[in-house]
Amino acid sequence: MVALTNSIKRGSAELAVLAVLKGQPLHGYEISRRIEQQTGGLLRFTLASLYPLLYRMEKRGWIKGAWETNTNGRKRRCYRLTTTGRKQLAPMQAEWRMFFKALNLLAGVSNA
Amino acid sequence: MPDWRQYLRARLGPLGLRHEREEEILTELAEHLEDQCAAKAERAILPPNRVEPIEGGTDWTLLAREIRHAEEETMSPTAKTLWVPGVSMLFCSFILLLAMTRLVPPAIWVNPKAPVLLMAPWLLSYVVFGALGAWWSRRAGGSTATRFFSGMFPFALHLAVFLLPAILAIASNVSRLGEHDQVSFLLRIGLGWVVIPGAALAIGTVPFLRDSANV
Repeated sequence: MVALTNSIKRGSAELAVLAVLKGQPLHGYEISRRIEQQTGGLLRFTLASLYPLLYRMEKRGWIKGAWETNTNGRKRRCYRLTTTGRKQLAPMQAEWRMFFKALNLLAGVSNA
Repeated sequence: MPDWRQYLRARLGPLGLRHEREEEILTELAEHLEDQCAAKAERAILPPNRVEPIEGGTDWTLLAREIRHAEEETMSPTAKTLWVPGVSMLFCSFILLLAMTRLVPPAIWVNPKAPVLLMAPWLLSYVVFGALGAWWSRRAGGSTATRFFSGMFPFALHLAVFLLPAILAIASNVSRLGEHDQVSFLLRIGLGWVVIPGAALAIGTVPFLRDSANV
């Protein structure tokens, strides 16, 4: 059960990050803010859940971080989706759609 | 604003990473906390000088460990899903061939039943190598194509070790044969050393090309 929960959690978190980075490069705080905003507060990333995930995804080559200085002179590490990351997105979306479909058939859980 | 780097350093402790990388991570996390604090202050949730409740529930030891684990993940996805399983199977098939040439007594090689005695178990082992390569790749998160190629890696050994010398042999020693015999010899070599082992490997990969239903 623990393995199942972790696997689902990690998979959904990766999908959430890839989805928000699809549009434009963002820094860590902005990634968490957008996810929270776009899910109406249902999904919330903390410092502890977001950064290890970002570092892992960067190691896998799905995202790439680079330091940028904004107009206020603050240095931020902005993450953008790589070609590998972009390729991950569609199969992950399909997998989750299938997963929700299976749950829906089983327990009437709809992703709508 | 508080010194977030100091705040984080005190809670996370040494991360055990390269100094530059550790500094980079501290800067990044500090920037996050500063943004978070500013946003909360802006919404009048938190006075600007109050820091403690901002990540109050954070298990800092766990976070430090998670960061370390994430940073230690050094192998690329291609290495994990293609090269490691593929090269391992290539190595296994090479060892098996080497063992067969060294350990099988010469009498068996010239035995009329050699095709059955040697070829059948050898080909069966290739079905297993193909299956293992594809299974390993699927377990590591490989795509359908990656799984197939992982299972087919020993095929490269055949192309390199047998096909090339076979062509060279035809060019040098078998040139006295007639054209028809040369073609027939080439076909036999190609079929026995390349096509059939390749097919055995491909058959082995088939059950693992479909996505696992396991979550």
